Amino acid sequence: MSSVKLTSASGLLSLLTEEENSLKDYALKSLLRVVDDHWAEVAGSLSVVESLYEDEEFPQREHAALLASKVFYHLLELNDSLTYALGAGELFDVSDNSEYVQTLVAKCIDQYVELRVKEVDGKEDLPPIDTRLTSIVERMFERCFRDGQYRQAIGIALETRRLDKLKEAILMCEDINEVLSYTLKASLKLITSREFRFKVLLELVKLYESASAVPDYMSVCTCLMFLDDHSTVAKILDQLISDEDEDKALLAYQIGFDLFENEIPQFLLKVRDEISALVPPPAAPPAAPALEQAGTPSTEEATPEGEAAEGAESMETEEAAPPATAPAPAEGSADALEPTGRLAPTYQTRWQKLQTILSGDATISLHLQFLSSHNKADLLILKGMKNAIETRNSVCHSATILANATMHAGTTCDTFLRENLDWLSRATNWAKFSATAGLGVIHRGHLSQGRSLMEPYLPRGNSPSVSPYSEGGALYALGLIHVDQGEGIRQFLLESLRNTSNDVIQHGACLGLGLASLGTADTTVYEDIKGVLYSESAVAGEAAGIGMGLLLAGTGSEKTEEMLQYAHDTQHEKIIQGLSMGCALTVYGREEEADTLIETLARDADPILRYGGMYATALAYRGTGNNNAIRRLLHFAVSDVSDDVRRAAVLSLGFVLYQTPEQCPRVVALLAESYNPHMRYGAAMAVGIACSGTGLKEAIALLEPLVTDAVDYVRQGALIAMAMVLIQQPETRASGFRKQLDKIIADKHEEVMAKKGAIMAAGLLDAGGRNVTVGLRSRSASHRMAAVLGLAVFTQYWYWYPLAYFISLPLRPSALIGLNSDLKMPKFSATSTCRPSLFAYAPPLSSATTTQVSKAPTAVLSTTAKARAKAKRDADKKGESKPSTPATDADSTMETDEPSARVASPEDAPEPTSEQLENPARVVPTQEKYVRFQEGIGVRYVPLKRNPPSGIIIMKDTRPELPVELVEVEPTQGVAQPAAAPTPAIEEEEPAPPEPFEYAMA
Amino acid sequence: MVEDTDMKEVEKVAKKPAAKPAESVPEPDLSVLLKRNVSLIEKAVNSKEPRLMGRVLRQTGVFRKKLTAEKIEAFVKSTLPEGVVMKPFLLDSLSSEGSGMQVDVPSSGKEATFLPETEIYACLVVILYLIDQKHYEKAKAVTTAAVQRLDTFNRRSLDLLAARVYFYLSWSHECLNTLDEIRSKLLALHRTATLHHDNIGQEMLLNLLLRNYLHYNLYDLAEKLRSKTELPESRSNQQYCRYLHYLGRIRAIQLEYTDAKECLIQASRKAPQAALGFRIVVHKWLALVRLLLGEIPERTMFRQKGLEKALEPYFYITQAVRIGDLNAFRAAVDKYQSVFQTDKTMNLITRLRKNVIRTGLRRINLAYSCISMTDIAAKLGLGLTDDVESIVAKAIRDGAIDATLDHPNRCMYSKDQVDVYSSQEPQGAFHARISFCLDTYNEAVTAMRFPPDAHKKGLESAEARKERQQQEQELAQHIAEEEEEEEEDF
Repeated sequence: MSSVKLTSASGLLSLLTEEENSLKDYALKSLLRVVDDHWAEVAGSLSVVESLYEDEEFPQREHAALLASKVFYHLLELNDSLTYALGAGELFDVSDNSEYVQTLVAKCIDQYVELRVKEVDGKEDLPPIDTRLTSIVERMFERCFRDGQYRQAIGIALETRRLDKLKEAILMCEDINEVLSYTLKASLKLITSREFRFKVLLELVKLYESASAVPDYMSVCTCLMFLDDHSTVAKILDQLISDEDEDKALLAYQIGFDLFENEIPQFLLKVRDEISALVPPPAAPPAAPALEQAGTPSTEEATPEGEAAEGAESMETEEAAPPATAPAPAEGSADALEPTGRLAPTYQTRWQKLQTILSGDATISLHLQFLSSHNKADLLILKGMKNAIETRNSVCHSATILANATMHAGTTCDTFLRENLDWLSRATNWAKFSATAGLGVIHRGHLSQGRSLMEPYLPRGNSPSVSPYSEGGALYALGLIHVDQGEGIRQFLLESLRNTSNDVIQHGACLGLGLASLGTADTTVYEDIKGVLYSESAVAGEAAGIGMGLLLAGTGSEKTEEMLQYAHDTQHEKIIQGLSMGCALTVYGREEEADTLIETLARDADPILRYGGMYATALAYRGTGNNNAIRRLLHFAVSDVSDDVRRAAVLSLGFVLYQTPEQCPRVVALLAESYNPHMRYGAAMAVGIACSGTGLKEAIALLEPLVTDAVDYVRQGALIAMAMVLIQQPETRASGFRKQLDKIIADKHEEVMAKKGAIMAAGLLDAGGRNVTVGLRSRSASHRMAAVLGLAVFTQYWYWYPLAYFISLPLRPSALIGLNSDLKMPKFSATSTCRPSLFAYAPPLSSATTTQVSKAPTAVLSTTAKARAKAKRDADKKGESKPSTPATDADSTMETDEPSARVASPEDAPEPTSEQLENPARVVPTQEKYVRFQEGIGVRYVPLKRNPPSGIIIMKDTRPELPVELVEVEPTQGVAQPAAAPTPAIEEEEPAPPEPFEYAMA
Repeated sequence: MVEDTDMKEVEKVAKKPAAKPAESVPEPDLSVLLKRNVSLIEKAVNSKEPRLMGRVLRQTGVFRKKLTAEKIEAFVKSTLPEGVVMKPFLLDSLSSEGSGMQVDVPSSGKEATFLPETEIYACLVVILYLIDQKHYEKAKAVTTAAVQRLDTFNRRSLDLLAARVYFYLSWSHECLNTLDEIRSKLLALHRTATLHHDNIGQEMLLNLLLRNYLHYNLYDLAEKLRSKTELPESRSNQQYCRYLHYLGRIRAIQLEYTDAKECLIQASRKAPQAALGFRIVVHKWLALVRLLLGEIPERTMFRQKGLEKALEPYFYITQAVRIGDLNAFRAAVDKYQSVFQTDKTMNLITRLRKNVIRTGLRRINLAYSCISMTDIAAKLGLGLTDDVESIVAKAIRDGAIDATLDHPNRCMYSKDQVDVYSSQEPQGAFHARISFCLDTYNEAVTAMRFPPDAHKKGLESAEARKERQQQEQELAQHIAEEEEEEEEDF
């Protein structure tokens, strides 16, 4: 045996060149022992070792291979090392714990992943993967299984695209539901290939169904929604509501709400159709209205009152049901799956409820109710703004109107407009168009009365138009009211479009139609808009282009070719602009499928079309963080000759990265320091989009210097972006920015563009009565189509101010709304385990400060503000929660010890560390992690899902025998109006018929 | 040998210029300083800033000489919580009775939020003390245990401390003359450091390995290792200096004198002024390499402050070579043989003999147009006459002298000297100097450190900009008004 202390390996090396095999064998084995010390020497004779391995005759080839592998490893040539390690066969021991083996196994997996991805993508013909490589990876899988590291195994399986191993890993795990949800999250977030993601989701659905007796229907439906498998969802929902168990029906409602939140209207429409196809129409008289209602949801049933009546009915039926079924249980169970089961009254009522959910009527009316009752918009801010700006300055004037609209988005509160009619009447021409559209934002979701509200402005049949601007704006406003829910209004908008030849009205109608039929790809609508496009009017053509895009959004339709062709033919830049944006909208979410169109657009000679190409990349790869997309955008951001294209490219990064907001500031950090102001603007907006509503520190740090940039429009972008980032953040963080905004607005010397940005930002910061956030993601981390599209079109305000009203689309109420089985809000509360002042509304401006126009709200951190906020809250609480307290106490549901919060004396007591949130409550996104539902025995209402504690959540009533106490619906702003009254809204006292708005005569 | 080994220490201490001004101020108590360092370490780890760690090490060097066993004991006791693996071991090796050889480190027990960095730092302080007290055996035991402990971590914040521990591991072994024992360990550590992208450890370990090989005159192995290893991109000046020194020595032994000279010159230039020991060694080798290249080092090189004494033997050798006096050369070699042997330069000195002869030949070549072989032999102090002719022939063939041989007459004819300034040579010399300057400049630029966001401070604030713009506008208005007035005047 060789000595332990060997100074040099040269002796052994020379043995390798001997004739005798046994000598070589001895040399190899000895060298393997000392190679870690003498690799540098062996490296000199590597060729000899290699030739030994290649010599087929040589009996100890594997030893030679192992030696070569180790030397290559020391030389850090890991690829070669791996090749030889594979050649060493069994001698390469995977289970060894040495650094050498660990490094090589990691390398091995990397290489396997790379090869597998290429193989699966099948772009080029590749030789099959080395079986030895595969076997090593499989050995690693086995090791993971043996050691119980299932998550690692799942990770590797996803990376290597091995569905079989994925399945194996999941099935082996004990807590299968937990691991399934882990896989679901991982596959949605991390798999970049759309095709493979679908495969994984399909597999997951199968696993969910086979895994346990009661599958997790919520997750299954999420998967199916991504797979666009409407018929299975329909089947599941049908099965759930036809089940005897009331809980199943509740689950179905919850799924319905969750599905609606993801804003895929076509999908839900198909689901509804599928279920209604299962419901035998003629045999069931109650089913007929339900079907009708599916067609025209905007009428009677949608409103709370209607539901209330309905709910009462269903209560009765339920109470009546048990005695009915009790005597004949055999019949009920036997016929459960028969059509007669679907004819049962319980089924019918449940189906009706589910329909209102799936059509979105329930969600929308609940949100409307929440927003209007919780409206905390501060009119004094607006008043301050109005006084600060010069009325002659139309830019700031219309920006203020926009700020008012965003501040009151969805609240139905138009007090400010009504109080300032004179001032309002200064808006003329397109400003008037915008101002009218603003009403649509304010009344967003007011489906039942939307049309009657807008009646005074709408074009009237044959009579000559009073003002085309307000008429066009009204049509646009109708679109904004009925985003996604346009079934009822579409026909009217179509007729308006056909009846007019005025391009301003056409403009409004095109936008309205696009919004109302978002993503439906309706052919009649398409043909009509195309007619407008071909009329070759610049104004109408632009809107037609965008309208087409909205109509075809997310369909990846072939019609883009037609649009592109026309974009090449036309002379009008505005039309090209509209069309290129329209093309971008159509490929929303198509990822790789959109590459051809993106490539065509991005390579076009016309910068406007390249601009569209950037947006197409942004929308196609929205929220995927796809590396190729980012690379392309960065490339254009630094290399294109047109400033517009570069700006769009940088801005688009925000859309691609919004799923991982913390990455965005890093990616655009350098661009934010570019010499080119367009790039800086783009960087600011990108951060605003990607980090919207997060309040991320890095984002704020990046935006802060841009807010004081030398160029006015960069400041504008930075201010808007800052407002998007800071929306609904704790006042401690936002108050500084508020002050800054006030200062800019009041500053006489400030440039108009920056001032406009500040006004828009102020509106956005307090959007929706301070109860909404900018949400591009739904709570289940999927993408909200209308929101993303809306934000994309909003950024076009750069060219065309009226498009700024699209900002209402991404706004999402941050509410926790609990519903019982009748879709009514019962009284209950959840606990927020943090200081109430942390997430409180910004304190309203006091009237004293209004005299000095631009006094900022005091920072909340100061003790006085705290005390004031608390005092106010206490007052609120006393007012609001009093009635509920006795009831809940009686039910002993209030076991959580919150008396301290309620009893707290007004002034000097320390601030409580938690507070009770009464249903429906405002829960801002950052607050979600502190919110807890009450737990324990005796709690009356138990949520069907706990995470996240916001949005609409169905509560299970554990004590149905007790009387139900519902939250009183405050009679505000028409929401609670007896909507059942089908007569036009003129008789209503609130919202007042807008006759005072006749500012239009200028 | 003594000098060579000492130089590391000299360098270490000398590299702390901060030490001197600090001494004038009343020094805070040692325990306070140690505590301050521990809090600095915590800060460094939390803010992931390796520079702070560097400051800790520098400050440790400052009070190093004042360390006492009691102080360190108190420090270890108070800083390391119970249950830290190294604690009992460290205390044990500090107590004078402790054998210091109980290397059995218990398997890692419970560790709370306590940082491993602090633990290793405590080890380091103990090691420093032990080495200063010349308890090399104990130091060896502690370092071995510390390295073993380090193996259990994979933290980049430890890199700097770990590198220092490795150094003392090697150092204590060198003092005990057992360097060969740790060679495999160092190789394994070097591999780990490379795979973990631990740049500091990587360069430190590579240098230690080279030192290890050179210690046993294993030049061939050292060169093989060196050529097969990539240097990390970011390197510290200190380590790079040493690397160049080792490389220069390897090159000199391998007869690549030009490369060797370049490396050694760079090493001597990069070495901090205060690192006296290091500079002595480098200059010794440099002198020899230059002599071997046929250059004569300037006298100033041997007259540098602090170097005169150490470089004296080399000065005599240089003188002998310069005048080509073989007898003087022999005398010098005989006189200083022991010095050269400890310096490990004997090898090169024997090679120099040929250069002495050549220089002598060149002088003769310049002085005589024709000279007989016997005369040459007499002048050079050579023995046999036939030997002379072949020596001369070789010199002519190598281009050392410009002459022809007349074999039958046994004499040498010199050719006329050409004017150097008519040749390309001056240009070449200038070029070499300029490129050297440019390289130095480029290296200096790349070595500069730019703190992040420093450029932002220079940007003007929004208010300043507004003011400036307003002023510019006023100025422009003013000028426009003046022009108008002038126009009106016309």
